[in-house]
Amino acid sequence: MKPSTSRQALGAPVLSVRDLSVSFRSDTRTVHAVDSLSYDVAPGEVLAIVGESGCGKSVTSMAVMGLLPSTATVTGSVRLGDRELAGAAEKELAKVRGKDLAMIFQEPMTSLNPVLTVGRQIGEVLRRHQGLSRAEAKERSVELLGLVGIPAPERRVAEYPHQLSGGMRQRVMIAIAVACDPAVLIADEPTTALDVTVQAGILEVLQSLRERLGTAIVLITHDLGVVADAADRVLVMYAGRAIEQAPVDELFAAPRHPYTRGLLGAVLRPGQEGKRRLPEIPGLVPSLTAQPDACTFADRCAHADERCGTARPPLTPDSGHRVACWHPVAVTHEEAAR
Amino acid sequence: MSAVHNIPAPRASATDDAPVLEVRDLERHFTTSGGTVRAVDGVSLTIGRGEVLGLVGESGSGKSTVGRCVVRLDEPTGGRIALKGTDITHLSRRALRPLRTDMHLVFQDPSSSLDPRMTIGQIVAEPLRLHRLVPRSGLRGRAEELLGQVGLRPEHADRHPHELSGGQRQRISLARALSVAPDLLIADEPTSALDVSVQASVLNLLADLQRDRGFGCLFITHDLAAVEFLADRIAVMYLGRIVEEAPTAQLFADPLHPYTQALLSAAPVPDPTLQRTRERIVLTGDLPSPLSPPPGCHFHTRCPVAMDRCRTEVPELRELREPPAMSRRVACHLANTSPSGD
Repeated sequence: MKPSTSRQALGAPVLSVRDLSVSFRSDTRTVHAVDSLSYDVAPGEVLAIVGESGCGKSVTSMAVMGLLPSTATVTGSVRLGDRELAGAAEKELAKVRGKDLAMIFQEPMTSLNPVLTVGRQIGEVLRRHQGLSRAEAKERSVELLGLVGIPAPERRVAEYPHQLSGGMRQRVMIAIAVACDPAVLIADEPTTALDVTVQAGILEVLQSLRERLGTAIVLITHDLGVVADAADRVLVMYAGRAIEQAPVDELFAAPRHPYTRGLLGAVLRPGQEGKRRLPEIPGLVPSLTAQPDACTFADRCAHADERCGTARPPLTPDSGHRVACWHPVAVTHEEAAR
Repeated sequence: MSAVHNIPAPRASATDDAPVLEVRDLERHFTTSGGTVRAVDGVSLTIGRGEVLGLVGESGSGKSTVGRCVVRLDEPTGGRIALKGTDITHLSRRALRPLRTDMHLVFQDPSSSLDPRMTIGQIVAEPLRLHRLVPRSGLRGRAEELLGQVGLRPEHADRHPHELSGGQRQRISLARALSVAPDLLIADEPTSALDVSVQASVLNLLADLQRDRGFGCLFITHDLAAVEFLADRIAVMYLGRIVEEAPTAQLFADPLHPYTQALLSAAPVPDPTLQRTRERIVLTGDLPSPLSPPPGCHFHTRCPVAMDRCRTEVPELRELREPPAMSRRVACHLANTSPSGD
């Protein structure tokens, strides 16, 4: 994907998340999966949320969609346009989900209903949110299948999910998600279960949607190659917190948080590997049972000092390249030149 | 059962200069109600001593089935497999048992391949106990030693798999596999279930162990970057056949088969500036069903440069000798007629 030209001309954010925290309580302990997370997405922008297993990136998106189970405690604000979604009644959310705010998941087979045709499943959204008749819904379904690059959509519309390949199923999921022309599409690891040649096709579809429909996309992924390919801006999460946020080129060229630096150092680059030794990040991800007033990466960080263990670094400055670190890595001349 | 140990090991026939693994025309066809699935359809490959061969392919290419046939978890329906010169294709389980110390398999998901009720110490020492390589009293000490070699602490021997992280569990799988000092390690997607930073440490470990112990390795993966990091040579599979095989650096620098080219171009590079300049070859259509693979070249239905000949005539996996005497093989009519061939 190419970066959008709209990046300079970003309007007001279409989705605005402020101080979002999510915790899960069990009998014995409380797990703080997301800790005061804030982000904005502008129309037509692709924001990638990156992090490793357990960093809270998926829980964040489930919280934004209002899909978390009742065991979760969600605080903070999620604004879609001028509507507040956090704490809204289920009935209100149901009007928004699938219409203004849509989501696709990693494994399309588990998200699709195996006993309904593809056409029925796309049509369901259209009839519910746009009040189309059965025939109108079918016609529009065929159009949507064409839009997401499915060959012979007139035939495919009558097929069942098991008759489609993994890549085709994910395209159907995307067709359902964009059926009502949502303002924001949340894509949670949309290509992780797919082969790389199939992934390439899905990334192209997402790109064309953003260009043709101006959809804002929140792309949740652990794959830094996908981030480099698709994102305009990147938010890096670690242990439930946002630790760095920057335009994609800046983040890759000059990462300032030691964790981001470690992550980018550890990633393999196809076609560029000599027999180098991969840099490792020592230690393990902390347990999420505490919300310490400290940097959660301090234990694993080579630059950590006393302050890192006693005060939580804020994400600063307020815009541009933001980093939550008391000792952010200085940008070298070489990096600044890029 | 006790008679088992009296059977002489059939190693006498093995020669020291034979390759660790030699696979010739391997076939694994599955008969189903819908017809025959040709999961592996005539695969030949050789792994020399201490060599790492990467076997790359996408879902359904048959790469894992090749690995399973090599360790005889799956019965080949045709072809020949020789381990250090000994034909093991049709050896009985009993005759195969002494050879089990020569090859070991590491799976993708360590949480499902480690017995949750055994301690780490028992898991690591199990092959040594079963093969009676170490007296019972020495098992614990040897297990702790092996744990040390994979970067874990002796205390870990008393823990259970669920107490460890994914990366630590994969280290346990490696310690277990290496306990019997095999000459051949078959690693099926050993790092695919791991996070980036954990993957890096496991790949480093695998590279270190391979260098120190000098075992040959069949590294099966879909991850091009991981295979480039570890492998000396790479074979690319598509729909049950090898379409290209080349030394690692050459395959990445100059892929000859159109499928290899598409595969390499599709993997996004984690560098936005570079990624924007790359041409991506997007393949049309889906992987054909292995129940009815297309005639001729299996790839012709999705190949951007297919000719009439590709639709009828199966391209042979032909050896190309390039200066300076680098051997590579490619199964493509176009590559065979290119000036770089012959």
